[in-house]
Amino acid sequence: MMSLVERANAVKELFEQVDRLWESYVAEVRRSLREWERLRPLLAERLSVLKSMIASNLEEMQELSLKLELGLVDEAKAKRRLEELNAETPRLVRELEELWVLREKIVRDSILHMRRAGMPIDVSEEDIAGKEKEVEECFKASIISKEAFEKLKEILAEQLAALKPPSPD
Amino acid sequence: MASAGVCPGLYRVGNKFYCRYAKDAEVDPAFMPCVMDYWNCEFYKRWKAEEERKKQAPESVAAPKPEEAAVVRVEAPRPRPAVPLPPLQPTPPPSVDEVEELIQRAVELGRLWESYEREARAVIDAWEEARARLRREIQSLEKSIDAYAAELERLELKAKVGMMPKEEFEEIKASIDAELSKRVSLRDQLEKRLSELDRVVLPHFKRIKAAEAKPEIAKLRLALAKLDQKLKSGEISKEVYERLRSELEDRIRRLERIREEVEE
Repeated sequence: MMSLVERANAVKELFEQVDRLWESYVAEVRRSLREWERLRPLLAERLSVLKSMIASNLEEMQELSLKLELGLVDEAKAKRRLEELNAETPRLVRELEELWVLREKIVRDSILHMRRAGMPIDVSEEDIAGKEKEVEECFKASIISKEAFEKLKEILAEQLAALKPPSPD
Repeated sequence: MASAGVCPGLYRVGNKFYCRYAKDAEVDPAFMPCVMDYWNCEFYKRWKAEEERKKQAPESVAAPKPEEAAVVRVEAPRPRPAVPLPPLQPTPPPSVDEVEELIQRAVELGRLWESYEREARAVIDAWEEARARLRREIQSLEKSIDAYAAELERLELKAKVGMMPKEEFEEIKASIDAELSKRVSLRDQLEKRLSELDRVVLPHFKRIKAAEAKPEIAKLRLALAKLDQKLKSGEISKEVYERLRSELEDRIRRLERIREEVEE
């Protein structure tokens, strides 16, 4: 049978273990955030390029069809180019959607862990509102699909929720 | 293959013509006086004058004989007696062979022109495609540069307010700067290549398009009118209309310039 002192020491040891785990958690959060900061510019660049390429392809497809109708381009050449664009664009859209969803999930997780670890959060409600607007514009311009649009809106809503202070209970 | 009607400086390699009097530059006999009028060509005239000068040079620079060098004689110019010109001989009519040769050469020129036109059209087609590809590439690079610049600005702000350690900021900044400089240099290279491409292809484009500028302009104007109709009937958006209209107007202006140059 453990004495009272022994039991008290065991409980104290448990709290020390919790402290060690906490320090380890905070260190891991910092490490993850550092990695995230290194990756973030590359993701931002690729996303921006993909959006621009898709928008430009969609414009070209629309214009080519119209030029074909107006007799301004050679039919065989226009069809060949349209085939190329039809093959390339969905591939670019898939890459964009996958990367965009991943990025927003990482942002959501980073907010969550920064808050838990008591670190200053570098994302504001205005930033999220700006992203919501961009997602909507991209959906309207057919740069992303309806599924991706809905998924992104859902994740952005989770980001907003993560920004709010936790309820007292 | 020089003959009375063709400039002796003109020669051909494959389907291209070159002028030995213009430092072996490529020439287009259809647009230059190489055939039947080469004596009016500036390159030919310059070469001729140089030849004359060379012929006279040995006489004028020859060392004076000792007795001549010792005594300087000054002679007043004496008026030359008028020499009666020989009466003009009537030019004999060209022989059958000469006419035949001329016909053959004209036929050959036509064939060469057709071959040139075919090749030039192929180059112009490829040029238009390559141009569009280069433009898309440059546009992507611009987007990439803007995205990196925005990230750099965000990180600078973060470091400034103390949300990021200075060393970490410096490390990420260095890697962004390296990427940025790679892309800026690539964009500049592509822009340079695009302008080089335009420089070499544009003369052919002008030459080929000169012949069809008028019907092409008419075709483009008709397309503009149809485009107006499509906008009015709501078949196309204002944005698409504006983009295509500006492209068509630009093409019309370019063709009008070519037509004016040719007519001048």
